[in-house]
Amino acid sequence: MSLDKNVVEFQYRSARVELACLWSFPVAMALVFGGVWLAGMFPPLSPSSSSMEVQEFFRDSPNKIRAGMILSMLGCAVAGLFVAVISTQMKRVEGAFSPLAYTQLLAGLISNMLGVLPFAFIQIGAFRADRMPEILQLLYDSSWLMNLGIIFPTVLEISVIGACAFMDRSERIFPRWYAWICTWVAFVMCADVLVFFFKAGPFAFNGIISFWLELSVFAIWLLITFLILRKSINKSIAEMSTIDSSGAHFSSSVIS
Amino acid sequence: MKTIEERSNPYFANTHAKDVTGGSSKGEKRIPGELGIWFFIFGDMLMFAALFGVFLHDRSSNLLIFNLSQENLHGFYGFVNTLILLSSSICVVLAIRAMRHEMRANASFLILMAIGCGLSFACIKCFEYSEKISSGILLTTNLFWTYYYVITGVHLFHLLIGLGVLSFCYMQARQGRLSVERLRLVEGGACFWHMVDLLWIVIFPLLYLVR
Repeated sequence: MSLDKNVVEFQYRSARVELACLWSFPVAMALVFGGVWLAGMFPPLSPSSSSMEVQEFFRDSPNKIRAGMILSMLGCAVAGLFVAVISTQMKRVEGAFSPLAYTQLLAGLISNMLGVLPFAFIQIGAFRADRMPEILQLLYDSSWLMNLGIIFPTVLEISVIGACAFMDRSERIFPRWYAWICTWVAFVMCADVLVFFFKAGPFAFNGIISFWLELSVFAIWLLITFLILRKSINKSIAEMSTIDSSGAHFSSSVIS
Repeated sequence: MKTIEERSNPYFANTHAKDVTGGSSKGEKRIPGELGIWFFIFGDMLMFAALFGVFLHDRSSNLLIFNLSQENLHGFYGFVNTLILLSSSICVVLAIRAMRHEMRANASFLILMAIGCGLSFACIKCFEYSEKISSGILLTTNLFWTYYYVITGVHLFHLLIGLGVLSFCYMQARQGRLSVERLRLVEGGACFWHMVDLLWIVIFPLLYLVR
């Protein structure tokens, strides 16, 4: 059975688009982290710092904060492409009916929003940096508690990616060890809910565990995911360029 | 181990050939469970190691508070829990051995024993928590208690998941004859349980005994 030449071409083109979307991800990450760093929030102020200190942070260089947060919010928007690529790849594993891919899309959207809103709060704070210090502190706390504390959409996202990787028996898209890594990362990320309990120490939102360790684990997971998707997309592009004779296993999942 | 390898199973040659390590002929030496579970286990132990690291670091700068707080901990509970977990691990080891030899009744009984041990561990832990809470010691009392609740809490969370894993193993053990693939999964579950045990063996001296 050989596929229609047009279909192959169509699939080839969408795989190229997938690859382009995937490569937007490093750009997105550079924007997000560059922005946060420019705004002087890497690492964040301690949650135990006084409202006056928070006000000082906003008053010190509001323009840097504004510019940084614009970059970060732009980065979050660009990261949407990456979320979509994960889903299209998951769809190849799941086939036409793909609840996990849709859940990933949803959860990815929500975690993306939980990334944008905190930056917006900081932006709102910088808009009138001469506000009452308590209000600025409220914005600052909301920003970081929302960013790190509301972790469950991200946990859900990573878990369904892991579940999908377990389903991929042929290991064509996701290797099996990656499924275990997802399970582990989802497990570890749960510990971030502890930020609600502490204003100091390792579990506070600037602490060594809640901030540094969790972020590093998440960053490593993102990197691994990026590399795995890059490999599988490249592989399917390579397969499709030589598909004329044996294109049978590219089923309808790509264009469904 | 021969009983597994001797069974003819189409999966073995393809799916698991890469899991076989060590000896050149299959069945001599291999990692129990599938390879992926070890990513999980080592990753988890790495996180715990980090947790222990920051605990010891903070302890060295608040030695007085840590030592004074530690006096309120009853080493007895910790000790009993250590014994309980160690015996549950032995049960799991014996159960896996029984499963390899297809001794269905033995295996399921042993896993039930292990589950019982795990449940009693959780009960003792809850009893300990309630005692602490009723005497006014909370998560935010001081840094030592923060660590106490977080470390033991995360461990308890692992233990509860481990109980789920053991229940899965129990259902498999009841079925008797398992495919090699399934047996790998059960072995992986057993490894997870041993990790829960091992972590407690580190946590117990770290929180209760270290001076």
